[in-house]
Amino acid sequence: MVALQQSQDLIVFSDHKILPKFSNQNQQSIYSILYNNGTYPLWLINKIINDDADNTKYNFIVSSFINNNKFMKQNIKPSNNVDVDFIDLTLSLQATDISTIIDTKYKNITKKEGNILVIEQPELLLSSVESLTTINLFQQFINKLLLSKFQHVIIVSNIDYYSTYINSFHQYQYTSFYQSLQYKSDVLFTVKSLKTGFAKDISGTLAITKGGAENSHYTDKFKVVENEYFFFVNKDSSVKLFY
Amino acid sequence: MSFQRRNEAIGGAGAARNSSSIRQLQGRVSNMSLRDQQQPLSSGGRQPIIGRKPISSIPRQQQQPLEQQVQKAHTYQQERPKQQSLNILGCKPSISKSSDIQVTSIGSPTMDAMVFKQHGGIPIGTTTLIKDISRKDIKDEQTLKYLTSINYQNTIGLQFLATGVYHQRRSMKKDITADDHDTEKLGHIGIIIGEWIDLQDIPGVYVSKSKKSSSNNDKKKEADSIVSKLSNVEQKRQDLKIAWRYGMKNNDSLKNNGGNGGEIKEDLDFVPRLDIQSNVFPRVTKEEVLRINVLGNTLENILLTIQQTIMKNPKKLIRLYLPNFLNPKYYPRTYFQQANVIKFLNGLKHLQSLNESRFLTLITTTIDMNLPILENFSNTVIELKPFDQQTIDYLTKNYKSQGLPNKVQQGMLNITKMGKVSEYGHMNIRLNEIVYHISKNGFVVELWSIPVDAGDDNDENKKNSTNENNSNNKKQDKNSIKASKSIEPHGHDHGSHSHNNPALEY
Amino acid sequence: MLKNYQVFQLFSLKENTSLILTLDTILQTASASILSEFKQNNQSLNVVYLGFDNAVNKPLYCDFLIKCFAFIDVSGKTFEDKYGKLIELVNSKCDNNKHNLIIVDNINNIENEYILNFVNSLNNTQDDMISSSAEENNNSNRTLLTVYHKDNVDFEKYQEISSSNLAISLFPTTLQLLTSSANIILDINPVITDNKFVDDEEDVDEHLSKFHIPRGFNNSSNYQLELTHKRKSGRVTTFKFIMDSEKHEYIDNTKVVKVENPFGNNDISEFDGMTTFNLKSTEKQKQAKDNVELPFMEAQQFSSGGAIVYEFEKDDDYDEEDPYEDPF
Repeated sequence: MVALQQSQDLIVFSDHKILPKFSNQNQQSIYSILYNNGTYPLWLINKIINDDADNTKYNFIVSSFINNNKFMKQNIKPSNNVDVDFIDLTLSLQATDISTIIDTKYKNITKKEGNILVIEQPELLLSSVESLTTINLFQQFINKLLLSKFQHVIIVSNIDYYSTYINSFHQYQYTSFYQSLQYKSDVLFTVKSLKTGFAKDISGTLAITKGGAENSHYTDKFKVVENEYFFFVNKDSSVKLFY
Repeated sequence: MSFQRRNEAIGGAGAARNSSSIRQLQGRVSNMSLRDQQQPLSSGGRQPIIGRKPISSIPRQQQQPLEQQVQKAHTYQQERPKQQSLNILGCKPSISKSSDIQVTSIGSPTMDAMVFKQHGGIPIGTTTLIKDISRKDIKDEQTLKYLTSINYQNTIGLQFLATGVYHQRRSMKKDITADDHDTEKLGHIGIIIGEWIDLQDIPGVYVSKSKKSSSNNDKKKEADSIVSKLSNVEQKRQDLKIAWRYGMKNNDSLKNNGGNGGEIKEDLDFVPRLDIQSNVFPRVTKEEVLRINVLGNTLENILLTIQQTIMKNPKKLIRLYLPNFLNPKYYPRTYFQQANVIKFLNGLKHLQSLNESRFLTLITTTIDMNLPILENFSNTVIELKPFDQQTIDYLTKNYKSQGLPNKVQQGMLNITKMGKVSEYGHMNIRLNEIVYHISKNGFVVELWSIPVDAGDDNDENKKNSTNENNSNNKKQDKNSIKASKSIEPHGHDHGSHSHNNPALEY
Repeated sequence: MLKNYQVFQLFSLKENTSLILTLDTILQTASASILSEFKQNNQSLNVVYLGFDNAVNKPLYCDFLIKCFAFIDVSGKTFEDKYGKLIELVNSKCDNNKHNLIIVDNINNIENEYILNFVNSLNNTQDDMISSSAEENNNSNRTLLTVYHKDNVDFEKYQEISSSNLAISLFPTTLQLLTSSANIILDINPVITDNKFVDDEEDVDEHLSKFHIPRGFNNSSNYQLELTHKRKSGRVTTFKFIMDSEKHEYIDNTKVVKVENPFGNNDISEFDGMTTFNLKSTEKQKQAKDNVELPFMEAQQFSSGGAIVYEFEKDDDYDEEDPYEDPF
């Protein structure tokens, strides 16, 4: 029974941290949170923001292409002293050119040190901006954010668009976007529902896996711990992790 | 004749007042099947009045009204604080205790209770997507007609609109508005996007043999008779005790879960009892259901029209219905620009957020091409998976031998996403748990259970199925087997459903 | 030790290699594994890393990281307009007194139509105005390493809408272009059999079809390398290794590869109890059978006629022709 299961802490690195140590100011990283329809990981975003021991040292910016600020502000609940700002990108899907989004939406961010961006579904730009390719999406948007605005970017993506049989331009772009995420990420969080169907005491599984980004900086003392948890979202939206 | 009738489908809010032409035409409308109506579409439709703007330069045109809308919505919200929304007829608070979510009925009491189990109805301010699994492993000619399952979607959609019409008409009646509350009761307005749906097909309210259902005095009595009727079936099941293992167990669990057939408390203030064989009377007016044409229109213009309708009806609950969305049969090629589709959905979601307390959308779709985007922008995603003919034959045979020919289910209903549940991270993926069929009262769902195998009586079964295939007419309901299958579910599924799924359930 | 020495030799780039192609997948990326071997084996290398995929951190195994996206003119209509600035920058980072390794991670970012221009302009600076005067032949101290993601199928076809004419042209794909011109092809794959989180390849495929990355992949300590070396003579050799880039050790895996019995399954245990005959042979019987010299074996020795005469070149290392012997 769940009640007897011991609740686990979310651990990403071998030093029991969730967010990477930014000992080197130039050290940057990308996390990817992957989910499907019906496993939207709002709780995980909350957990990443609130559960890291050093979270008060960072500035979190939460941006979403799918959920507007009203929703995000209601549901992202930072604990005391955690600095969270919200930048609404939902109407940026009406834009025809991605180059202006950074300039208009993130113009108030002047330095990247200590800034962590949680960005939801940037891949939707592949649909909304005509003939945008994955390569351009990274080159003109995500990489630029990493270059001057953020030290750490957490990309939250819905992987329902992934398809192994590609027969259109968009399918190709989406699929290669997800593949790029794996190639570029330090850590991947995959939130899945249970294969066996609905259960009353388990909501689903969270898998933490190494990404494919270069890892020459990691040492035995500081490396990604691969893990798979069960999670359960209580009625009050509190979350319990267990094995 | 069908060509003339298309004229009534004048798009745009500006045309809403001009309803005289429709009344003239109304007398001539007969019970045409959907199929008949679809054919002449290619010959061109009337330009919507609003659709004057050119297709190009979409973003600028669209962004501006959205911004205006933002401002207006803000002032609107200031003027009318939250409590106003409580006065809309046919709305009630969600049964989930934790929130102040308001819900309304989708038009099917069983759907409200079982599919939208957490809320007891569709949460207002959300988009519901009902999609049909298209079959890729089509083998024989018969199953090629899988598109006919569009009718399922439209059955729900029309019930969805009918519920709106019902409440709107109630709001116009003095005896209701002058209830014990002094406050004004707000009605509903439906918006339908698509000229291929005949608004006269919107089902009417069930009329019991002796009295009119709209009569207030008889409401209770009627409700009683309905309940007894519904539970009659359940009673029969109870009586057939031999090996009704699954069914029995089901009933027990349903009681606990608070909802199915006999257990559902009929609440005529919330959902009308519909008779899908009847047509709504008097006929639907433009003030009740506004139609926006697809032909000769663009997605951005449709969005603008929706937006204007919302603004023009500040005191109504908006029920938007997009039937067969992006079905190439009805939507011209120009609609399939991915960028435009996503902008439309994005705009729709934005409108929804601005009018959270009085706007809900139902989208039905068949093709799976654009589903990822559609699903992404929908709060609730429901998937209809028709049984294959083999399973249906099996069910027919067995239920018939139990004396319950009405019970034959037509497919599986899966839920992959639930509005105001999934977006908070709660798990609500329900697969292979619920089955559906169309009854006289419309779309009915129930928990899936396997019937008892009646053994072989193949000859009789064969005879039935040939009859059924010849009959496409809804009117043949009296012969219940035929009726339950008058809308043929097609497609090729693994015949193993009936064997696998009970195991999943327990 | 001698065996390993040759692989070291290869990674140290002391042999003159102009183009290396590395093939990787999302389950075993080159940037997290094999790319570190070059600097490891030759500290004097000047490694310039063109980060398309990894445009964030400078890996420890390289000397310069170029964040390419900042130097590419997206609107550029010609190759020069688009990549001129980037190539200029790469040239400025190359050290003419050292051997330079230019890593492009990954090459899929370059449009198919520009691949040849790109490869040539990085490898061969003769046309380049800036450095042509200083060195007469400065491409000899350059090696270009391109990373190609194998899972990016049909890339060219969908890369650009505007280049739809490419889809119907016969122009070879990026992969075809690179494999034909590369001197060394490093094909890296994860070792699936050692992964306790997945059953087999089928299981991995099932996970990947939903884009669920199983645990236990992207190891730098245990992965397969299939090395194809195309020598100037035209001789092609292929070796298989199990690599460990943490301890920098290599296990030769070439002969570990099982050769399936082409004559079918000799396992007759499935007939157990089904016949009254004894179909089995004991180990001893088998051995005796194997030892019988068949008279026609002699005829298969090819002792005369139709021999292939191979002329030994200076770049070639001497190899016994016995294919079953260890390649080193």
